[in-house]
Amino acid sequence: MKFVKNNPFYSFLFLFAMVFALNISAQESSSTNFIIPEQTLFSGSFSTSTNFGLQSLLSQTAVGTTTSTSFGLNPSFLYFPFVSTPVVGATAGAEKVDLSWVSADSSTGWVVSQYSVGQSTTSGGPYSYTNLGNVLTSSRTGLTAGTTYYFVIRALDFYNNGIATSSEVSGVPTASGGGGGGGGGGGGGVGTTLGSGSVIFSGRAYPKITVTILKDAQVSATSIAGVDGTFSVTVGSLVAGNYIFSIYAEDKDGRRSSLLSFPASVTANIATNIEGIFLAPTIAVDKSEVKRGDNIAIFGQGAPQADVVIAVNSEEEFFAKTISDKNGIYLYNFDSIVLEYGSHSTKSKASIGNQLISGYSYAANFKVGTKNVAAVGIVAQSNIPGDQNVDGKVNLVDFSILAFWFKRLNPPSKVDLNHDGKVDLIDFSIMAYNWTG
Amino acid sequence: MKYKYILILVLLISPLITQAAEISFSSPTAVSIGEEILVSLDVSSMAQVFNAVSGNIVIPKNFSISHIYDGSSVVTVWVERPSVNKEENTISFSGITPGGVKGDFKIISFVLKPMSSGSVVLKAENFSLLANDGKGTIIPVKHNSPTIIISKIVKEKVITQDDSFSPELFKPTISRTIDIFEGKNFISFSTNDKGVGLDHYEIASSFIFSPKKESYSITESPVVLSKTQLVKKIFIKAVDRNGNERLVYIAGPYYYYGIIGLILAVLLAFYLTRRLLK
Repeated sequence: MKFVKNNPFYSFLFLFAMVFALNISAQESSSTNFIIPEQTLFSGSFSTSTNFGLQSLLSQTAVGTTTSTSFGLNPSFLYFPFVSTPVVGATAGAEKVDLSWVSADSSTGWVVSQYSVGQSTTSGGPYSYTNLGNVLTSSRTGLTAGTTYYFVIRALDFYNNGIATSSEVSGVPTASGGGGGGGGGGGGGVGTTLGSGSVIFSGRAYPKITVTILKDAQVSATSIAGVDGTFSVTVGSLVAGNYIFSIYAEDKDGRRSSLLSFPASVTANIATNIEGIFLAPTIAVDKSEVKRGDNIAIFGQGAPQADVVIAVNSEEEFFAKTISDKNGIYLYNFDSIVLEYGSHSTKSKASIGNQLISGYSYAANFKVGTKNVAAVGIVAQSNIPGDQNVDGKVNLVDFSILAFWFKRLNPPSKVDLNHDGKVDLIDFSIMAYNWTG
Repeated sequence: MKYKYILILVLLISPLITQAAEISFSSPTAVSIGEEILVSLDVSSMAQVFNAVSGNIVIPKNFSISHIYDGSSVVTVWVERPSVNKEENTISFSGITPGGVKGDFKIISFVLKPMSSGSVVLKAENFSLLANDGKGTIIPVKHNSPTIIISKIVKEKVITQDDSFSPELFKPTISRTIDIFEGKNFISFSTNDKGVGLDHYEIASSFIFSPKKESYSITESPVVLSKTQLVKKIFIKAVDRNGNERLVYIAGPYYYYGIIGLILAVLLAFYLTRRLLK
C-alpha cells in the first residue's frame, strides 16, 4: 500500500481513472432484491462468475476489459459498454473479394480502435484474422477463382480485444480476365467501368413489418419481413458506381426505426451482398410529462425474443433491460423517482445472444414534472422536424421547400428548423437526420 | 517509468484527436504546364457520422478549371451543385447525405490544367461538416492542403471521363404549400449521375405530344407551375456533364380533367356536326 501511495505512476493512474470516470457519474441503484450503494453495474456477462465475488470498487487505466491468463476485470461503474455489430458488404471480383462495412458504433466505455478481418473457406470458420487498422474497407486479394470465401469483420478495442463481430458474408471470386489492352498515347482517362449491378440486403427487422430501402436518399424498394423479423431485398439494374443506401423499418404503429446508411460500390454484372443488418428498435413513451415518482412506460418494437437495453439520458444515465416478445414488442415501466425534474430522453437498442447488436433507436423525449400528461398519438407522424408539408415523411418535397428559402430573408418559422432566423446548412442537416425518403 | 507517462498522455489525448474529421486533396505533387491533373477533395470522419457538407475550393490562378465530376460524391442531394466561379477561380458546393455516414469519402473531383509555373497550394475555405445528430452540430475539421509544383516544361495531356450512361431514373413530384410560391403548385425533382455527374435540368410542358427540343429551358428544382401547365404533362430532362440525358414526365394535377374535357368537346362537336348535317 505504501508503494502505491509513494509511487507517482499510480498517482497518475488514479488521476487518469478519475478523468475517464467524469463521463459516468455515480448513482445509487436498488431493486426489490438488491441495493448498490456505490454504483457498480455492468452488462451481465462480465459481472458474474462461479469463482469470484466483487467486494469493492476497482479501477484501471482505461475503461474496457482488463485480462490476463488468470483473471478478468471490468472497472466498476454503472454502465453498459456499448458497441453495435458492423454490417458488412462483400463484392466478388477477379481473384478477390472487396469488403466494406458500416463502422461499429461504440459508446459508454468502449472505443473501436481498429478492425480485423477473419477469412475462411468454411462457413462458420475457423477464421484466419488479419488486423487492418481503423478502416472501413478491405480488398482480399490472391483468392482462388470459383472457391467460396467466408469473412467476418471484428471490431477491436484499444487493447486489441474483439468487442463485436459481424455476421458472416461470403463471396466467390471470378477468374482473372487477363491483362488490359495497351493504352494509346495522348489523353488520360478517368477509369470507370459502367454496367449494371445489384445489391442484396439481408438482416433482421421486426416481424411482419415493412422494410424500406433508400438509394441515394430516394425510396428504391420495400419488403415485408418474415415472422421471425428477417428480410432480404434485392435492388437491381444499378449503373456501376458509388451509392449511399439507407434502410429503415416501420413498426405496427407506424413508428420508424432510425435510419441505417451504407456506402456501397456497385460493380458491373456483380451482386454485392450486404448482410447482418440489424435494425434498431422503435421507441415511444406513454407520457409526455410524468409526475416524479410515477412510472413512465417505455415501449416499442424490435427483433423478436431479443434483449432490449433501454437508456434514459439525463445528467446521470440510467439503464434497464427487458426482453421483446415473439412479435418483437417490448415494454418497460421505468420508475421516474430516480430522475430530476426537467427534460429527459430515452433510447433503446437490441441484442440477440450477445452476438448481434443493433445501433440505438431515435430518442423519445419526456419531462419529469408535477403531473402526468399522456403522450399524443404517434409523434413520428405529426411532428417530424423537416416534414414541411406534414405528410409524415421527410423527402424531396420538404427539401424543395427548404431549398426555396435557402439564404433568403425572413423564412417562415416552420421552415427555419433551428429557429436562428435563416435557412442554412444546419437546417438541411436537421432535415437529413430525420429523412424518410 | 518515462514510457508509462507517455503512454498515459497518449491515452488521455487520443480520444480528443479522434473526434476531428479531416479533409484532404488527392493530387500529384509535381506537374508540367499543359498537363491536366485529376484532383479529388476527400473527407475522412472515423469518429462521427456526418450528413451535411459545404465549402469553397480555392484554386490558384496558375490553374484553369477544366471539369468538375461529382458522380462518385458522398453527397446524394445537392443544396448547391458544385459550380465554378471563373472570376475567383473557386469551386463552391453544399449538400446533404440523408441518414449520415462515417468513414472515408470523396466529395468531388475536378480536372485542373496548369497554365503557368510555380509552387501553389490548394485549399478549402469556409468548409463545414455537420454531425448527423438532429442538431447540425459542427464537426471540427483538420485541413490538409497540398503544395503542387508546376514546372516550366510544357507537356500536353487531356483528361476525360468516359460515360455513355444516362443519369439515374427519377420521379418528379407536384405539390403545394403555403410556405413557398404563394401556395401555388410546384414541381420537385432530383437525381444523380454515377459517371461524370449531373450538369443541369431542363423543363418543358405539353398537352398531348412530346415537347419539341427547343421548348426546353434550363431550370432548378423547385419550379412553380403556371396555370396552363397544370393541365399538361410536365417533362423534366436531366443532363450529365457528357451530355447524356434522362427524360421523365409527370401529369399536371388537372391533366386528366383536360383530357376528359377534350374528349367531351370532340364528342360534342361530332354530335353537333351530325345534327347540323341532318
